[in-house]
Amino acid sequence: MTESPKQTVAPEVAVGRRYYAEVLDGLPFGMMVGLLRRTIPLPFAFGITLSFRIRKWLGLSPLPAYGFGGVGCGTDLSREKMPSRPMSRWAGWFEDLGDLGFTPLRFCVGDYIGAKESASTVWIDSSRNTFACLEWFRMPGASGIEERSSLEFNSIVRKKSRAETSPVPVTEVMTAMIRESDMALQDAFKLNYIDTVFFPDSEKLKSVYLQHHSRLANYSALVQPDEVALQTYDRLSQGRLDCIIELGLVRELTPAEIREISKNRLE
Amino acid sequence: MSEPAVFVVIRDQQRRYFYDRWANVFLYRNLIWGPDDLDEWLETEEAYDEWDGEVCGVAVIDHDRRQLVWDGDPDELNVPRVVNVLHELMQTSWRGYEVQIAARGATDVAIVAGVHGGDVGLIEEADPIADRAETVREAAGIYDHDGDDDLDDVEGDEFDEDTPRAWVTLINEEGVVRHRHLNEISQDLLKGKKDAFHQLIALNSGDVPAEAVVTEGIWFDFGRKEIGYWGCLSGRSAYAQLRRGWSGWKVDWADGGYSDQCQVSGPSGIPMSDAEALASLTPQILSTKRIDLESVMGMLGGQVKKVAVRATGCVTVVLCIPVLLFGLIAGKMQAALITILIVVVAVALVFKLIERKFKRKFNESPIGLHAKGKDDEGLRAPVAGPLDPAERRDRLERLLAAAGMPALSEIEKHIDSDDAMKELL
Repeated sequence: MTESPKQTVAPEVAVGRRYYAEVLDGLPFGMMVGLLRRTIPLPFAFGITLSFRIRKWLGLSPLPAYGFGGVGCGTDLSREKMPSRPMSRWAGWFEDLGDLGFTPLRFCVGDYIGAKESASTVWIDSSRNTFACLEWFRMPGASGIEERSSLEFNSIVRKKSRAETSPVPVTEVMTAMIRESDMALQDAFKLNYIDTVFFPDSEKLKSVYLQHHSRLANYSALVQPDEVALQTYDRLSQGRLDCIIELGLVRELTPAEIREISKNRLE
Repeated sequence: MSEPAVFVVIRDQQRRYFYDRWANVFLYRNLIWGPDDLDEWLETEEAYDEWDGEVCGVAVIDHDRRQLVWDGDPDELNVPRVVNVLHELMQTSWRGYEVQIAARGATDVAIVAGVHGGDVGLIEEADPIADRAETVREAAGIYDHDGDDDLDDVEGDEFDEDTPRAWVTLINEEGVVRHRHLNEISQDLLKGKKDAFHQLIALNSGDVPAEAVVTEGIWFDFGRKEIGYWGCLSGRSAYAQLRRGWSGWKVDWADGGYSDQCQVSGPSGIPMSDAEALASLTPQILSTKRIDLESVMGMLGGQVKKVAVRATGCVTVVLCIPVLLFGLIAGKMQAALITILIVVVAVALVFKLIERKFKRKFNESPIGLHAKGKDDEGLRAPVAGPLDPAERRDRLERLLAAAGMPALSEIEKHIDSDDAMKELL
């Protein structure tokens, strides 16, 4: 594991690397209206979505507040050197994962520019067929700086079965826990080769893990040898990133955009 | 209906009692300016020779022994970190005096005031932990009915990010750390009942909470047979009970509080800065408004009005959109804009008429008449200290600097702009 002190990425460091950002106006029109109407009345939600579309057609899409580095660009740290905030938020999940026989593979601070910070950790269970990935981030939201944690159980499966809703063979099974208010947004990022189910983060981790395992009964889950487990996980992550770029939900930032976004700060 | 406080002033061994009908609300905002400002404020009305009637808050100012002891019960003082910064500020403004928040509430205040609590309506608690939940499950919000005490049933209170809580950490012989959140530390834990741990383990796992929401904390290190406890001053009674209940264990009061518990349990947590702690007190300290029934009613009315304004705004937009579209499509924008203007004016007029009628009806109702009653308000200003907002701000700024605390500009960054309390202040 490489270790370096935690620091904010400076603009001069950021330029020259590849960074990506979510494309807000790439979301389906109805979905974006649905998301916005959770916080504002429908006519305004419709109007704002329409204005985003018009700006997109005119080539005046708003500049993202942050950008993220590609897979493997984060900084791996030892558990003791991880930032305190995510480790504090994850403490309950760590306890449950430990009780379920999971062991940590990696602790990492995300590579971000602009107004966002993040951290993640990857664990693997004792049967070596399920990864648990915990993610944490802070970024500006509707009511100031918002903080979120999410957890995913991921398993690679043989292409034996098709999920009822998927037109292509399923190669991954994912069971995730996220904030209930974010569940609608996640539908936009569902990929057809991943059999995905979301639960609100108020669910107990142990019961979500049991549900993941009961879902695996429909497939044949592949065991990951210790020495290649992390590479396999990174390969999954890269595949997902490539796919959402192809869907137009994420795009690579230009050097000029990187320079501009790097000026944003979270606080 | 009132929130009365009594100020017992002892000078040259003579006791005088000053009453204020609403001073218990944010009692500290009257005390924080020091002895001279408090005296000046109190002396604007006649003193009583006897403690007369029941009160909610008490402050005893003993000039002979140079001591201030006070007891109020504001919610914002449930968090030890907030209490600590307030205490530091008061130590600065009451230089030369010993400042104490009454650790045992009425009992301490009565002792310092030299009165018998029962005689003056102060209820002295025989068992200071009797108010706490009896069991861990009760403290977690799980109530067993009809002998149903299934430990697997752990649907207790959910603690969202801002909910105050007690933080319990268990460290077993192998060093495995478990965190649990309770509404308060229960009697069975304080009394050393072993069954309490089975109930704790059965609860849902918790994270390391932010310092801003922790009212008290405790950790049990089973390998070392050590217990650490910290909390507000009233937690001293709980600590005394812990020492009695856990013979054979090393029981310590953790002076470092939150950071001590983080240190024994892993990550360094999410500590609260001085500025964040002061942000929960500053608006109240700076406010010169009397907090009485009328102002509370005004706040509630303001919130209702805000919702009504938003709803009316939405209805107006919905009404105007078709008119605007018609104007665009038919090429009659001028007519459309005039129509919209008429609609907006008409809606505003109707809104104002309804608001006036509603206010008049409310003011004529028994609650409205009671809230308006100002007959017994007296001569005293609503609060002690400077009444001019700029001067009050300046005095607080100087006090903060003298106490080595962050400046107001830094503190104000952390004030919750959505706080409903803002309307009241």
